[in-house]
Amino acid sequence: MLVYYSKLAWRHILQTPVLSLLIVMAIALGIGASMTMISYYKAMAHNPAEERSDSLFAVQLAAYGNDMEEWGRDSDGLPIQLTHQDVKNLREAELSFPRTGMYQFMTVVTSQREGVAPSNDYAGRFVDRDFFNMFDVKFLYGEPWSAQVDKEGDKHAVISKSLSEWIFGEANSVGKTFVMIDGEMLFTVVGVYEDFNPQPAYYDLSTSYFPGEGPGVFLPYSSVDTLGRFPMGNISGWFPEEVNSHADLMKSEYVWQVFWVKLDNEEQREQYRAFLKAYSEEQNKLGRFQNPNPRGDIKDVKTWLEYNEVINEDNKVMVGLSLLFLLVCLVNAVGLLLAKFLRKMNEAGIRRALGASKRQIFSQYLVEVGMLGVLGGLLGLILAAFGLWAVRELYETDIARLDPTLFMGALALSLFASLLTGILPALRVCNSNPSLFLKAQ
Amino acid sequence: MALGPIFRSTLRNPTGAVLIALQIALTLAIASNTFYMVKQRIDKMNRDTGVVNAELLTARVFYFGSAVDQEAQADIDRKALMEIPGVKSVSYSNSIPLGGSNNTSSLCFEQEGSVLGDDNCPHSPSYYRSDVNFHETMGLKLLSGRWLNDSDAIESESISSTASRTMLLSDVLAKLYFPEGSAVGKQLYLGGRPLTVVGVYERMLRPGSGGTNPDHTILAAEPQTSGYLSIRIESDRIEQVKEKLEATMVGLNDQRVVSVIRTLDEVAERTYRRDKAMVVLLLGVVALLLVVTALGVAGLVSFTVANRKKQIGTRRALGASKRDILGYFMSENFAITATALLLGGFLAYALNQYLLQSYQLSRLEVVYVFIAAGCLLFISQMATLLPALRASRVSPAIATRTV
Repeated sequence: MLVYYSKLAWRHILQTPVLSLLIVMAIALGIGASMTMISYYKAMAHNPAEERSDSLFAVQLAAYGNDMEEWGRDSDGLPIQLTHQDVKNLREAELSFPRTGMYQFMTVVTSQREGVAPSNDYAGRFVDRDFFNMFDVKFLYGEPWSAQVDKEGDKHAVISKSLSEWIFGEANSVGKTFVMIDGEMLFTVVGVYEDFNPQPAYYDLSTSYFPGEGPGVFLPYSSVDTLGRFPMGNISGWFPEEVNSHADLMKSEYVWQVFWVKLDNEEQREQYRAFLKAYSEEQNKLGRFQNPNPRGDIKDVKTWLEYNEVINEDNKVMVGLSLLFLLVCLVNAVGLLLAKFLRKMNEAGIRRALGASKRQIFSQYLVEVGMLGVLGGLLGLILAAFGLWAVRELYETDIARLDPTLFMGALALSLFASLLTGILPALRVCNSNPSLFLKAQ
Repeated sequence: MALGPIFRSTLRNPTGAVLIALQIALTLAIASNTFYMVKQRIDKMNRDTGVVNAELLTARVFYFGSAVDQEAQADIDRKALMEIPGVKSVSYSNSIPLGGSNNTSSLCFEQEGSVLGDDNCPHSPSYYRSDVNFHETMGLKLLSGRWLNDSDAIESESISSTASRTMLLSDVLAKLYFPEGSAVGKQLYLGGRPLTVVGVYERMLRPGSGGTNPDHTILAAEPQTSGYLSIRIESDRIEQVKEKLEATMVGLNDQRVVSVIRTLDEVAERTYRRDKAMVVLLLGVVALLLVVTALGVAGLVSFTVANRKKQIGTRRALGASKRDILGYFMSENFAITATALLLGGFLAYALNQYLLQSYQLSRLEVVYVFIAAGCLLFISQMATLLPALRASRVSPAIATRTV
């Protein structure tokens, strides 16, 4: 039956080529525009932590002494960064959970290849060795520095494959040394990782959400004191403080670092929350955190991405707009379908007179509408691929790609939408009186 | 024109008319809001930076050698760069308008802490720290008071705030803090330190895309030796200097990296990239929307014409002219469109209301509804014209052919 209906439908489509084409185009444009925007939105809303999302937690502290209850992304009184003092204390707390403090710094690296000038294109980042496991950095050669280095600090470095190739002309540089910082310090490569740039850069949302390049070199957080690198990122404070040197900054109440902890189950989370509560109260007693409600919070990756509003307003507006556009296209398709079906009304009349039931006529028309919908959906996907190309060019980003899961979604949506729009015209046709049309022949 | 018959024949078979009206109303709601969003973005991209965009070349200078006397080197740089033909002025500063790095601090009437509350520190301007030539390099306009001079200049290593004792305010900021009378000679607190206002300049935008208060800026004399290098050059020589800048600078001292060499126009383009992308996407969607609407109207009118062939033939046989038939369809469309636009106007405001509540958008100005309505009326009439012309050519004989 379906095959017969499809044949009939195809013949109808060919009999009214202009109207059919307009209907397909209307559906295709609506699907194309909305799929473009939804794909881009999905790319931005992507949670790169995937299955690790529930066990990684960003730590926040209400670390200030006056009325700053409006601080933080959500005006909840919790800044997204921490002071150096607090990160130091959290790192050294006697808890066995994997954790890492971190901040980004600008550095100049010297290449060992001939005729290559020193470059500051590779951003540096201080982290603890747990970082690599927590954030799934894939090592190609070597391994993270030792737990010993995490405590005492050393001039060990873990560098990206690109940086290794840029400095040494080869990917495997484990055990070699290179010059960085003040043009004279020697660092030893202990590990080389596959270039790492998750989008969004969820490990540190205090700088850029979608950086073009990931970190080029990781150094042990334990060397922060001795290397004295200023951060490349935000520094915020709640009262004026004189800062003339890196040592001043480390002692200050300015927030400029980020801290993450890995907590695998609810028990551990409760334990950590209790720890933060006790820590905040202790700091309050020591004369810091003088706000009325000393407290801390932990947020998992999913919550952290939403809290930081990684998806900007423009994208939400565009998704809404494209869905409204799809609505207009569908209203348009209803009108055109009506025109198309009523034009073929006499044929329906003949079929009815020859014994076809209303139900059969109705389902035959729905098959036709469904075919138009699928054609529109396929064309829409081609348009979406073009739309996403335009988005990539306009935003100079690489993340906007057609999501394979959306592929079926788009076809299902266009089929569903076309069937929905087809109901009214199809009802009109099968409810009309057949004799009316037979008379007019 | 007799509207009675038009009205009655539309009502006899209202589905088509209702669909056209619905589509036009939705289109109006979307198009007027979109036009308005586009207008706001374009205004933002075109706003006056207050500086001489076309004459400015900027770069980032970052030292890696620890044994460099940066202060002496900055003097050498300035002398060497000033000798290049076309170069008018050279400055090092902590940031540049529309650029990447931004320092802000709350600006207070009284020492912070002694007086609590937002009334004391109502705004957080960005502050520029540079040498006393910076206003010349940027091409700022002085409105009152004087420019900074060598007696204002202060050496400081501070990264937290400016160590200067004097400053200039942007006009907007001066008026906000001292709505009555001149700001010159008054004292304000920036980062906990007292600074005296010595002058007011017209405008210099903040670094970055500016947020809601792009004009809130302060200028202090605190010579920098690295960070942002700005060079003011005759605009037709700017490309020439740009090409050689890295080699020139590294030639003078190779213990530094000179990167991100961009004209201020290029800096602006990057800063406004998102806005530009949004404008293109919004206009793209509206253009498609108008095309779809036009095709939809044309399709439905053709259908109506085909349906009423007999009626048209009868009218022609009874003496109606071709013009009458054309007029009939045009005015039917006009009536439907006008009704739809009225409804669409309300929808436009409802949509705007939603956008206002959910996003940081401002209230829709009525002129954009009228612009969009005008466009739609035109498009709708144009889309009707072709099928209506076909209707006017229906032969009166058709009335006699079928029963």
